[in-house]
Amino acid sequence: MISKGSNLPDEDHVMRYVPWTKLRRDENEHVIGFLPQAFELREEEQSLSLNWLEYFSGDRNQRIRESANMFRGIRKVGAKSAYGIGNVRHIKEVCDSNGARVRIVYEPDHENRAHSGIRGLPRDDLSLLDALATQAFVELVRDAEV
Amino acid sequence: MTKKLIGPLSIGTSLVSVGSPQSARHELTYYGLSNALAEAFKELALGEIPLLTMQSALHAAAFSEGTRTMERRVSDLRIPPSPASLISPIGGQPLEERLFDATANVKILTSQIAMHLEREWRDKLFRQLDSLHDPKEWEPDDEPIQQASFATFLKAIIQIKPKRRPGLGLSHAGYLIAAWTDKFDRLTIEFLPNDRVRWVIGRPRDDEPEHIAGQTRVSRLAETLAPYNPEIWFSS
Repeated sequence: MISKGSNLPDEDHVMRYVPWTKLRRDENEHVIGFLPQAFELREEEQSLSLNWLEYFSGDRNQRIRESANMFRGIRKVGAKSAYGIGNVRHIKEVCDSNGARVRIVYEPDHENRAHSGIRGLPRDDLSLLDALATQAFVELVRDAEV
Repeated sequence: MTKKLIGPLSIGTSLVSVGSPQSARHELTYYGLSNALAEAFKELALGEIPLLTMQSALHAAAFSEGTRTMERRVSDLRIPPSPASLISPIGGQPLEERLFDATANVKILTSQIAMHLEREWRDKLFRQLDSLHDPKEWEPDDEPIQQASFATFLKAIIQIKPKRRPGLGLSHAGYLIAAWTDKFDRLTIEFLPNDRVRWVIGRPRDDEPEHIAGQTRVSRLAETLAPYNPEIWFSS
């Protein structure tokens, strides 16, 4: 197990909660991806909040389920919400190619031992946010399906 | 919370029907706002509002009289402070009421230009707004839709006249987001207060993903997007 503040291994994966209002939909409300704003920092945030999937044991589906359960236990999770999943190395490469050098760091707290964050994300860079939404977090899992 | 539908409310020539919690505060909010809108229109009809600033004079050169009239109406609706904000402070208001008030206010705004939107378009827009403000899905730290953002959205829609309707979203700050998607071609526009928009286009180019972003005034949006073949997104 890595220590708090360490970089997550490149081969590992992270999972971000995305509420209904930040999901990309067509005019008939069919979900087709993430809006760039799903990866936008709030004013008070210093890092983009994620769960480290490999913190959990089991196969990939079990880890996703455990991570979703963790989210459900510590925050409001809407039935129409979704999760974005991406590979650590790939996320960093996408950020790098869009001019942002980021770190993806293990940031556990007492409620969520899998909590991690992307540090160094610039604010108000819509191109980068679009790249995160479409190239970095390439897997979308609806909460209702987990 | 118990919700009960009230009858259609007549504002000028438009009708809007929204569900309303049966509280005195809501009725005051609702009728106070509608009276302010009616006054705005009366003054507009009598020519009592000075309409042309330097900026709008520039707009005048670029858009038809019909478009300018609609844009002025949207602006006039937004400029007076909402009576709702004078009647009831937001702090401490239950979440469902906050969400309801926010959507009711922008629906009333929409009703004032309803004659310029197809009925089906407007109905779908209202359903999308309700969906965005579903209390069961709501993020506690987010802001509900801001009227100033929605006014910018209406101006953009009137000017662009997209045949295809967008999917909608909301930023943390309550700014409306419109998304058009055609396979791998994506256009996302965030509508800011004061007639500002920020937009981003994502599309593959020579097998490489390309992301192009910008920020402009709503009056220049169509011109700004023109080099990117916006008919991909806006055509039916």
